[in-house]
Amino acid sequence: MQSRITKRRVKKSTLRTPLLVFISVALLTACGTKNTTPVVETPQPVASIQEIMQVIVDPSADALWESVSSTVTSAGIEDKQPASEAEWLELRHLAIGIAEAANLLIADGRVVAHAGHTLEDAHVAGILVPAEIEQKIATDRPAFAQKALALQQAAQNIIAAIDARNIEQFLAAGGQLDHACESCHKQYWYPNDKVPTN
Amino acid sequence: MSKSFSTALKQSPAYLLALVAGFSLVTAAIPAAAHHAFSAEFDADKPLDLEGVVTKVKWVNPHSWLYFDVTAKDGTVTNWGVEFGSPNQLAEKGLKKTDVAVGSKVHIKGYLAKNGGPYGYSVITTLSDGRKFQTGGAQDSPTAASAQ
Repeated sequence: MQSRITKRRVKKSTLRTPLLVFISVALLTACGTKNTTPVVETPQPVASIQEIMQVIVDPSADALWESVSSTVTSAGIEDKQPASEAEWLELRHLAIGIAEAANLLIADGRVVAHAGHTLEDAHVAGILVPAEIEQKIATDRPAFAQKALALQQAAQNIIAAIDARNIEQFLAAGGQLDHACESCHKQYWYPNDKVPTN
Repeated sequence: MSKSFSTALKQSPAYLLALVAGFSLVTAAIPAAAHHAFSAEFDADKPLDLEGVVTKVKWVNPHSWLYFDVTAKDGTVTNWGVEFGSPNQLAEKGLKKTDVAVGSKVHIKGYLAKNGGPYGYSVITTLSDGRKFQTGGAQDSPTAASAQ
């Protein structure tokens, strides 16, 4: 009869070999396995939010707003509005730019302003600096995204008005665009704006 | 300016249109349509109270503009320009384009522009027939009560 010590030694040696074999195979397999998932490089934010505004949103919005007006003087009323399909198409392109700029604004990794750049009206009391705006956005990104969505929806309303060639609808949508801009600026750019209180 | 950018510029009338419109807005005597805080353009500590005769009205988004001749006690006439709300905002308040006729008298209460020129922000506009309208419609505008 085998002693207890002998039985224990036999049991250990019986288990140890297959275990070692298993571990060895596992390690060799891991080392020999190539990572078959390729790393695909994708576009990353280049412009700052400030630059998106300066390059796309601001000039596009200004051109859209200015495209329809009525000027009353002693000489009479001068109505200005798109006079050709080409002009309507140009406005549509501008509105599309604003609609897509909303996606750009919320892209992960996009800075408010590049290092060394100051925001417009930085000298005015109540204007936040880029770092402060970054913090506000980071604190509640969904809220910021909602503002961007409002901008996009206003642009889409402008597109719809353009497609309908409806001036009244276009004016109304232009007002919505103003509202979307102001709502976001009031929260993120100049929340401490000094307005009359008395 | 890079070659690719200048090429894109020539091939994009829409971009040219936007640039021209934006440039002309910036160089005009009135503030550009680009959004600014109220305090960037107007002085909340300097109210204005003027009466004059309407010379021009421009109904346009995002802010309409009213121009009127103000005659000082010494007879000097100065043409002032004040910012209004958008055409739709004004229409919702009952103010139509035909209500502000050139040559009619108008009384403006609001705030002075910071650019030092004869410009301001209109909060309350009183027409020659006595009707009053809150013509400052931007979200950043002071309330009517503050301009009383």
